[in-house]
Amino acid sequence: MKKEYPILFIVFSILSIGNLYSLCRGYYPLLFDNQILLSWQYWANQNLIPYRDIYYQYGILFFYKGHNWFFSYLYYFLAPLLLLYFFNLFNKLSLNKIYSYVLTFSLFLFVNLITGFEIFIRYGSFVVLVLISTELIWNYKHRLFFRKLFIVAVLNGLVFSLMNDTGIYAFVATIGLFIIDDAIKTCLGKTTVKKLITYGVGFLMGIIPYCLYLFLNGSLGIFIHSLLELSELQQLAKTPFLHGFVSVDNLFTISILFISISWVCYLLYKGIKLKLINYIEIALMFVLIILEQKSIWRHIDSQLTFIGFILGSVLTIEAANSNKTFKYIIISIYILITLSILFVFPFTKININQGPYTCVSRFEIQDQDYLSVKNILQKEPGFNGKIFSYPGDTMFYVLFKQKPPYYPTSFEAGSYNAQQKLIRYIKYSNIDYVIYNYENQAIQDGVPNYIRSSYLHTYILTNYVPYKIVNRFLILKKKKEDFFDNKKLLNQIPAFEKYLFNVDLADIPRSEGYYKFNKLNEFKLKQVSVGAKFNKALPSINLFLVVSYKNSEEKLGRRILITANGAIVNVSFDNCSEDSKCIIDISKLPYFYKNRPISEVSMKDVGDIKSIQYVYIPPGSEFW
Amino acid sequence: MIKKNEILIIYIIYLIICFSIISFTFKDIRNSFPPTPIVANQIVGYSQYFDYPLYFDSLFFLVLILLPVIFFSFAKLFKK
Repeated sequence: MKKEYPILFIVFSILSIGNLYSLCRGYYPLLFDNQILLSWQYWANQNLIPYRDIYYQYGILFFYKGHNWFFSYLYYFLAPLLLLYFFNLFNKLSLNKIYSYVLTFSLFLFVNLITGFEIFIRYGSFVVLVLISTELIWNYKHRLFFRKLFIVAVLNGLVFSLMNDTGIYAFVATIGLFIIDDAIKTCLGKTTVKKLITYGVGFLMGIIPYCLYLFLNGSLGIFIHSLLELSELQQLAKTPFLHGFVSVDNLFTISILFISISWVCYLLYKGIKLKLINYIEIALMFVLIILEQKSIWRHIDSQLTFIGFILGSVLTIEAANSNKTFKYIIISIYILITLSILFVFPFTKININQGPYTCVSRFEIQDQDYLSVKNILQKEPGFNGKIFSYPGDTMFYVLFKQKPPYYPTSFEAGSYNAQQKLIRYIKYSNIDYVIYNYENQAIQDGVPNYIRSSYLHTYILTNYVPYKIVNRFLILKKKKEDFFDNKKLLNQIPAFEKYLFNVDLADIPRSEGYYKFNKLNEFKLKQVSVGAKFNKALPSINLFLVVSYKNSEEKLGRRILITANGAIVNVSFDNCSEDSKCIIDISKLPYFYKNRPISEVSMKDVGDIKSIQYVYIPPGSEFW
Repeated sequence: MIKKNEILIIYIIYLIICFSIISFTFKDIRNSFPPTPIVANQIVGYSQYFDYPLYFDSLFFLVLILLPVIFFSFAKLFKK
């Protein structure tokens, strides 16, 4: 080990002391996301076990940091260790040691001022693992190659135990790099298989302690299930990537990635033999491509800029190494660009550990909106101290010191099974009161809660009735009466009433019609006389409407009015094409969660609607 | 034999043409995707509700990062 490394480690540890301080900072203000983060911290504090007691997808390092001294110090020392690795790497690649110092301290400033240590530790570990493997690949002919490879794989397994997603990415990227490297060298074959087996076995060895921990806590099975579920969440809770494509953060990363790909392609085109620095560039490109795939599903563009910055630093080293006349100019330009990024350009700063809270005070909720709900409920006669928060004010579980459901919010509980799990929680916990945040009408991505968590919403509105309004919360009490009977209370919150009676199904009827219209063949469709009352009111349970269109260029949304018990439900949805039909499940509309007699179906503007038919489909069908 | 500066100029022209094609056909490509299916018992999220094609962005990203690879592959082929 070089003599300056221990000193540098101490220096980096001192410089990142703020990371240790922020371990106990709360996540304020109490926005939806921050509430989840803060309440996870609370449950770790209460010794709840991730995967068994609660859904926690970020790995035990982040769960136990701030509560367990081992994980706290491990978390804290990871940042200086990663920085030390980058110093070592820059040192190997550059011809001048001063460059290494300049580049490493620039990276430190970037992390400290923009990325934040939490993100740096999470994705930085991924980067470092892949780069270590890349250096190994470069030294393939070393006699201890396979032994070293095994050690790196064990390390990868240990990282997986601490930060699950990071470990998976590193595993996939390393395996990918082995294959790419052997493909470039045209030596794909037995050696590749040997490398993959060695890495796989090492990885499995690395995760043994973690598996033991999970097994002893009775959460091994559910952990595997939660891993599979995580991929489902990513795939089906997708947000558009291209809308945020032109953000400064994204453009910065994509531009550097694009320049690097072009540069390496140019080297290959010229037939120049790739050096270690080019291998490092390829590895970083590979890391960025994998993480950009994640960003395509859920935006993490601002979290990836530091990897773009590292790749930019490596390109700078290569430029300075190859052009000795202008090396000082190149480094000066690099410093200027870095300073501009840090202090001039509006890069998104990620600082989630905000707030003046200490380890002792971070769970003392002072927000009056939450406290007043607690005070009112505690005065209720017969209150058993248990509540359910919908759609996701997890702070209430902290306030009532209650063990939360496995999925603390309806956002995570999007799948059918997850919603059923929440319903079981409500049933078996004997919950008499649901605290419904009526201002939070779409917990995420603009998708109304009655769409995202329709089963759960149905259960709540059919088993609980409005009881009291406290600030932005509607307290629901368990009763067998009809939710909509308490008109007096609902009239006090007209926006919420409008939300329940004006249902926007957007593109769901179009998608259902496009893919599932053929499944209607086995059922008997009947014509609706639009605007005329039915001779005999139609029961709403299991009722579907099928809307057909004429040929039209018009692409306007449509509205159907459904009258039942004197109330009118306004259903809007997007246009369907002439070839397909729109299918609407009436029992997914909040007013029709309970069976009601429908007396009339009419339209606000007939436009290009040709006809409306109705059909009864028993539950358990493939329809949404 | 193509010189260093020449290949750079040709590459920039190639990129401009590619980006122009992508930006002009962007909406048509997006609208050509069928609606996002809703699978019973799974999440109904942004893609299903607002009909945003699930794999459109991945395809777009793939095309973008493959542009240099395609160009230099052809350049190498013609060089031979």
